[in-house]
Amino acid sequence: MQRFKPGDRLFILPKFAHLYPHNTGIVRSVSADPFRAAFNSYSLEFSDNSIANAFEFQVIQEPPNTTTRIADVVFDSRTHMAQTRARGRSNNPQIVLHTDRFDIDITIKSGTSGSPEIMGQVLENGTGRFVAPLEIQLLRDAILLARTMSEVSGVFRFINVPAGPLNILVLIPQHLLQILGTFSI
Amino acid sequence: MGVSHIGNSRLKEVASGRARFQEFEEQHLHACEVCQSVLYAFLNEARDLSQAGPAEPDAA
Repeated sequence: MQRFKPGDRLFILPKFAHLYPHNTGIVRSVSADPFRAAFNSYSLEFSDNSIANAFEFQVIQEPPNTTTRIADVVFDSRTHMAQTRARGRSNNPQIVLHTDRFDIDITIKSGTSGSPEIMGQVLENGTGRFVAPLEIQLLRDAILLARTMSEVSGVFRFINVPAGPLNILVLIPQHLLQILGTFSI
Repeated sequence: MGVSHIGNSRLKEVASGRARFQEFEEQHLHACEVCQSVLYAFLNEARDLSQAGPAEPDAA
């Protein structure tokens, strides 16, 4: 079953955006794949009126009146601590994803089952305020792996997280914003 | 006559965001579970393909 319908506005993941004239387009038609939803194909119209196809694994929805911001990795303890040869390096890697308005702090832990777990928190820059509750999605490319809601304190958690490159999508409807960040386990 | 599948290196290029399928390749993908399985495996590979070097040649 296809996730998107004609008229939806889709945002092309940064990894694939250089292959298209713009990073957002409007769905004009849908070609549902008979085997895997990840390969549903969407014909997108861009602001220059050009049309190109994108697969479902390449795109996320951009809700009406919402802006998508790409978060930068401004701190990753696995690289920063190694570069500074700091002592007392934590066994739990920490990552900070940053946008102009919000930071996403992420800690990667080993769960009870041995699989990685992610604990995170969404913070508003400059105020230290928590923004909650928020829907947080964990994606491989644009394929949804898990979704959760943050707690009142802005904390969220994912268990049994697969290794490899991951995307995290934080929906902040109060600010007509969604934040997409990429990191690796 | 055998089916002509999309080459592994081409599937890897698409999975890593280095290329887009041409129309005939996309049509083949929608009809071919074999190519889909390979592409899906590349998409779920643990390492970040976008950081990987050039794809190896296809097996004959």
